[in-house]
Amino acid sequence: MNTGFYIAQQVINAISLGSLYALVAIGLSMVFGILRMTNFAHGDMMMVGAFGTLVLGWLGLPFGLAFLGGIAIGAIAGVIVERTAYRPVRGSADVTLLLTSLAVTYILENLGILVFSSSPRNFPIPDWMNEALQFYDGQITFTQINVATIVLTAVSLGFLGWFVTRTDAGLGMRAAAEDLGAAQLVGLDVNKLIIVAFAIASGFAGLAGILWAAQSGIVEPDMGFTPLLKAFVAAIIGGFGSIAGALLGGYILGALEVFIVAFLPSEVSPYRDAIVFALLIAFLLFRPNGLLNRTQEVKL
Amino acid sequence: MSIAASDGTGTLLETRGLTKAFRSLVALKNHEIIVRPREIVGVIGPNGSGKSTFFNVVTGFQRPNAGSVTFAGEPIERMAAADIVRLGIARTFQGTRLLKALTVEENVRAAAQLRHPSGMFDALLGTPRLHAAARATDAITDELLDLVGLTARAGTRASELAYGDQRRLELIRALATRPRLLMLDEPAAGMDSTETRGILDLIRLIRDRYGVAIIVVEHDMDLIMNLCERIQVLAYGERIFEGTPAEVQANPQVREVYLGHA
Repeated sequence: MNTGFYIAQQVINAISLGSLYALVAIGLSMVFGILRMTNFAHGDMMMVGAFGTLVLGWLGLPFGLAFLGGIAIGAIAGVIVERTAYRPVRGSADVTLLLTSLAVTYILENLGILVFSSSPRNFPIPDWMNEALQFYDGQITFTQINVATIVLTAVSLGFLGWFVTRTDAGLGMRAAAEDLGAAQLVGLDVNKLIIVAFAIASGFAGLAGILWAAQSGIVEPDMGFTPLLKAFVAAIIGGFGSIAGALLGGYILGALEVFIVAFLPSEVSPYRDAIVFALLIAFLLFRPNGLLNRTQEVKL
Repeated sequence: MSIAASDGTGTLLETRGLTKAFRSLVALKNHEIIVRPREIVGVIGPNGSGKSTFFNVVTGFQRPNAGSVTFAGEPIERMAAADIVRLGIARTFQGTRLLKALTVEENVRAAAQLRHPSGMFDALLGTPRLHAAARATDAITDELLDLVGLTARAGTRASELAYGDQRRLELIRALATRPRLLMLDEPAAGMDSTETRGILDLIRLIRDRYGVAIIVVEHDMDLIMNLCERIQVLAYGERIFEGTPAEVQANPQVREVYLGHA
């Protein structure tokens, strides 16, 4: 087997996995940037998005529409959670916010179990998405899902980047992330900005959840748990609160996980997650502000 | 808009019996003031006389214990700070409160979008509103940067500006919300006499060009006496005198209270 092709294959895998982590991490970081709150229920928006797509499929919608609908349902669920659970405790002690988001996680996951049962369900996707694309006599292989993941993530991130840096509403969000009080001082509608942040963050999580389910072929109520932890690591690596940092952290983490398995001796592979979380601890100890974050201290 | 605000002679801002206490310390006691459209009013007094409390209560940063604040006919003493800005009162702070990580231009633009909003859906769908709002905020930002000579520094981070420029930036950022009343908290603090002269001309220009009423709190007596048409003197949270600059300077009680501390 050609080493160059092998490396290329692993890089593609890394980008595909990193895209999912980045999508989830960005939302986590965005909400933290404005509210200084770690939203543990963020991972559950993946579940909501994936189940949303599943149910819309059952109702007879074509996959493309069910896909978009799932993203929208994820976004709406995020806004509802903000409105009903987080806004009433906004400004409370950090630990109150933390516990509230944990409570929301349990409520959502148990709601998922109640409605869909705890056993994993098939996540049907159109045949073409599972089609494998082979290059160089099969030395580089990836599925249409990988392509979709990478392309849709790039498009979403491109939109977010444009929105945040080139539009007035995006400027408002940056202002709110920097200094909520000063943002109110110039008349910015902070409630609206926070809703927009939750809509985008949760829509991204919904998208990640649908892609995650499409790759694994199943959906289950606690499917957001592991990705959330990984996204948390990614956000910390990049600098919690920084969108660019979350993006960078997501891809670094994706690459790390893929490369540990691909390039290190096979005895090391089982310790992949252990290595990832050791990295988290190392960052928290030695560089708590991450790679890109400018000023603020990370609070949990 | 109420008649009072538009006829040029009515009352724009009125406080009655305004009282604010912090535990046993009464910072503001039965405060009364009337500000008419396009007026420049000075509020002076020794440290701790209640000037900052007056500002904070009117702009919604602190809730009064008693009394009323009426702006353009509307009671605002229970209103949130952001809503008061929307209604037309903008302020600056003693130390500046800029969005320091954002650029000079972005600071102004963030404020300018108050009157020209566009949201996520406008951005997502590229609506006409998005483009119209962006053109409007562009125009306001360009105009105001030009007003204070910060055009060349539009892309500079606010934190990297010299102190005097930060003060000017905060002033035009307040102006970008299109206020009817501008409240300036020690606009000349830390400035030399040349800069102070510049600020005085700028404040006058702003009043003349934008037709706003202005309330100035300031320790610099030169600035206050030259700038203001009417001056209110506070001591221990109470209004002890109000009149023209000449009347204030001639009043023995004011001299005693004020010069005793100056």
